Amino acid sequence: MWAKRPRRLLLYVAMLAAGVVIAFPFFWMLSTSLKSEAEATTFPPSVLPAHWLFGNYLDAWRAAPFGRYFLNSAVMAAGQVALGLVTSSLAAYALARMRVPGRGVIFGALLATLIIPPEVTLIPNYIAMQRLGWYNTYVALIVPFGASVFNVFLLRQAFLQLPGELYEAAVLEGCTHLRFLWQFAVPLSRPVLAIIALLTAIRAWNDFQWPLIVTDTPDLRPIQVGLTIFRSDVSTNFQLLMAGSMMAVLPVVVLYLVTQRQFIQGIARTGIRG
Amino acid sequence: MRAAWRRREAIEGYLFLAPAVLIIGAFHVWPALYVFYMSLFRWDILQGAFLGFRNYEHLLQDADFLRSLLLTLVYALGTVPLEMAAGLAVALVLHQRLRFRGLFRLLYFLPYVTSQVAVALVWGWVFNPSYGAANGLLASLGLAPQHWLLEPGGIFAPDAPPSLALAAIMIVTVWYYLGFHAVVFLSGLAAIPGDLVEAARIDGASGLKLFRHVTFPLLSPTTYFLLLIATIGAMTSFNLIYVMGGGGQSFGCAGNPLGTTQVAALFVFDRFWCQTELGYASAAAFVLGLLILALSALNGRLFGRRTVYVG
Repeated sequence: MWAKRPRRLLLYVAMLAAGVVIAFPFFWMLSTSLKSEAEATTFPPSVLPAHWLFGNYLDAWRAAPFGRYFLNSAVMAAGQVALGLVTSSLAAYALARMRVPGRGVIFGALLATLIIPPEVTLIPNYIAMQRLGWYNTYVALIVPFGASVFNVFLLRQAFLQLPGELYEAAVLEGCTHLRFLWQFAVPLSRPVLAIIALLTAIRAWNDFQWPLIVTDTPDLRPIQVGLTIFRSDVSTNFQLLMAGSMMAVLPVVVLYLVTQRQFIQGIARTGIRG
Repeated sequence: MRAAWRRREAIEGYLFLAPAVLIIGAFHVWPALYVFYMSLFRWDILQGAFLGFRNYEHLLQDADFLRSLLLTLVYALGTVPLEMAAGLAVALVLHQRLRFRGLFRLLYFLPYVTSQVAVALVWGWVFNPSYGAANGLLASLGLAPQHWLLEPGGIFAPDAPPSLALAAIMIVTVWYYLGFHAVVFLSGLAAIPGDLVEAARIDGASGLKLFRHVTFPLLSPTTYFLLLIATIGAMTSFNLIYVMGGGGQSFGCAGNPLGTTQVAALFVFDRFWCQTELGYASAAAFVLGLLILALSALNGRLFGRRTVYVG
């Protein structure tokens, strides 16, 4: 019993030390964002701001069209979530519950596409956006990411677990597939749908490379692209840059804190790595 | 009657599948083939002359490309084992009945949900050579300040990769992905049947022995899966390096300082976006894709077979 105590204590100390290292950049972002320009550029740096200048956030907000960037990111995330839920529900339902000739082959082919790394598709997709006339539109930010094999896979599992009697009873009543999907399968799979929506939204919010190459006006740029432009604009005003970064991560951090359980469950289940 | 109903169901099923299959086909499968087609041409802003395999011949003699492959390898070798080991260690601790473990999990996972652009900007500021916190720490320990993301010199030898700049980016990468590995390892640990571990305990296994002979082998499907995902992720890593390469002064198409952070994904992007040599960039992307496939297959051969599945 006594031998265990010091070990436990050591464990807590190690976890705490690692936690401090993990948390430090976030603390530093917050601390710098509240400093004056003079204080941000002194060496050695102060740990906490001498005066807490919350006005920096207002200055940052005014220095770039952040409102527009946020709106664009929200549209992009909402669009990807809505389209993604519809396409993956339909496909997963067909794979799980309908007698479609060759569905095993189709499912296998979909899974096989997972081996294609995204770097390979970047350049042809850029050309495709130009040719389709989608360059610099919301369509380019939403449609190419409007279906995901991972989501189809997850939802298929959920739909397979629906009780068979429920379906048979519904069919006897003359229920069509589309109505069964909408009235029974979707409501009964709400937890999985929530996970998919959450992961899709966060991914869309954090996406950078694709929006960087298919948009070139502030009217369409999402927040991550806007943030890199903001960096060039504010150059050495580090307190403003940190305030801007803070604003860019805050919506996702809040969403994460609120939905933590589902979120971590989702990652553990799918192993999606951005 | 029945046949007609069957046919109707089949048609309906294809219609259900159509949107997802079309999107994945058009924006995921087709481009993977089209990139090869593009790589056979001189292709600047518009499609130009047919070159056959000359882009590929060029690539093999392009010192920048070969260096980018080497740097990608260094980057992957320096990040994947480290983030997996650290993630496993954290998972093993969090798997125990520990107070505040929910809080720790929350904290360790936080980097992974934040945007790579934002955290790269923050770390760029931490590593700022004039006012950064990293040099502040060194100064308080009485050590000499470093140039961090602006330092092209190697950490082991002046001319050997990784440069201090790339090493700093590697630290940030491990910091970013540690929580991801921990969470997936945790779910792997939770899936290990408790009676197996109990039986081993009764047989006298404990501590390191228990881990080596019971827990770790039973965890191998998770380990293998993570190794695969993390290797592919590291080989295509872009955002962190693009934003931090160049020391937070300018964006890193060139993989500054002195190209020492220009990994393969950056090389592709540089030729594609910054130099508008789309055909040449496509060839590089295609080679990178093949290398990733080969590495995944090798992973499968080396580790896949030793994987133990339970249940």
